Amino acid sequence: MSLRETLNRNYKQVIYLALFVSLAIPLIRPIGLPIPVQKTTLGVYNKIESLKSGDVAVIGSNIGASIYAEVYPQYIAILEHLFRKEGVKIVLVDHSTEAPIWAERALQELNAYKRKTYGVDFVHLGYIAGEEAAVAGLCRDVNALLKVDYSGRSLSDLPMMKTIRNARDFTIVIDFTASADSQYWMNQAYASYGTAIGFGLTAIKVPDAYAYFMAGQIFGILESLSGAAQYEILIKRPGTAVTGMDAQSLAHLLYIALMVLCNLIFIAEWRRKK
Amino acid sequence: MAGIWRTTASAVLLVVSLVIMLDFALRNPTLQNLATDLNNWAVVVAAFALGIGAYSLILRHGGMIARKAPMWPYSTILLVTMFVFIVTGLVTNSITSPQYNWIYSSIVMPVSSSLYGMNAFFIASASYRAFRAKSWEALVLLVAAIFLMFKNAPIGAVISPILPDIGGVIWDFTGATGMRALLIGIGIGTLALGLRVIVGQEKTPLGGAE
Repeated sequence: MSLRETLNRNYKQVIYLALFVSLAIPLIRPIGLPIPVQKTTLGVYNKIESLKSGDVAVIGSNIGASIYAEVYPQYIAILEHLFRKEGVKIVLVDHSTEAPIWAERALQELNAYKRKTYGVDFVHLGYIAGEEAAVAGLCRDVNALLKVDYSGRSLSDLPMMKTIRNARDFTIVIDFTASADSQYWMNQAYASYGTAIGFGLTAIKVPDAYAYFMAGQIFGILESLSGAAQYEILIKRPGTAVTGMDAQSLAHLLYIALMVLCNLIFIAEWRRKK
Repeated sequence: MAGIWRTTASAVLLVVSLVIMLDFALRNPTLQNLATDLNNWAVVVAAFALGIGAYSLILRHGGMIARKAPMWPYSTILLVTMFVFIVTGLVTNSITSPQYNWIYSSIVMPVSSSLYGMNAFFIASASYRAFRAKSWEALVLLVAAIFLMFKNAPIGAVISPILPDIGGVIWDFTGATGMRALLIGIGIGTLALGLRVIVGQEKTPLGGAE
């Protein structure tokens, strides 16, 4: 049986096997391809670098099991960078029921509870139901919306929350999502209060946010796993994203090869019929 | 009766919308307090909606199990899983407890990420089957897709630095501008829909669509 016949009959199996091999080999033996840093990633990095002591970074998250492979490495890299900035206050807020699990996991992974003081350097507000109304409530008046944090501690007992009242007190907001909550922050924080916004997004969500980036309305975007890998390089903390980029590169190369092959066969068939 | 309900709901909707809009425009302290209260009510209502959702799910799937409707075993799995998560959360008083985390990491995470990861295989199969340059438009799409992939994966710059640059130009000039036009269109559409809802012309949010 020729290669063409094999492909025609069992093309799915052949393609799936080729993809599996192209993903597995670089994960087992990394190639170490250079990862160029894009302007969208650099925008986020420069903004966080410019933060001064006393500035407030609000980190929104909609991370769940289905998107964690793309977005969680971004979340970890950004939190690590923020924790390195002395005196910067971090407020974690979740936009889905699963997100608090990932937020607490990230805090444990980064040893946040030992490196920093809870309530002074960072606060985890937890999940707030209500989609855009929740974001609007946070922007309007945090203390009117919430009385306690994620673990039930009163906000009035947390020193940093005494000076963080509404979106005017947020220096930056970075939202990690594959959903509509990035737009909620644009509507409620940027449009109403002029708060600086950045995003960490899955690849499929990037195009609509990119229009805002090109217009200068957001300071940056971490684009999928590649954005996370670029950020890991910028903060000199290579992690899972850098390892995954070799696999992604080979998978992309396979997709391109398949497209070319598909069209070569198509042209050959068209010529034969002609 | 339904008519009175709809008229009342429309009136409430009109007043609430006006308060929120005027607060945005005027920045009056009294209006601001009122708008903040109304907004926070929406958050409380949304939290209750989660409970109603769970109640509705139990009712519907409980009925399917009782009737032995087609695929009722799946309903059983759904309800059992739901109760396991609820009980574990309530007993440990946290959704980040080791027990809850163990169930989440061993069931939800692998199942969910596997389903999402399978997309990579479907895309590979589609690349071979569907991306055929049958017309000039399809050819343009195909070439743009290839350059964008070279832009997004580091392998593009390794092959030639020009490849990601071309992808960047396509991304900046056609992708961003096209998306901006779409976003402006969505904005205008949302505004029109909002106005229709406020003046009571749009019945869908009040359960009046026929």
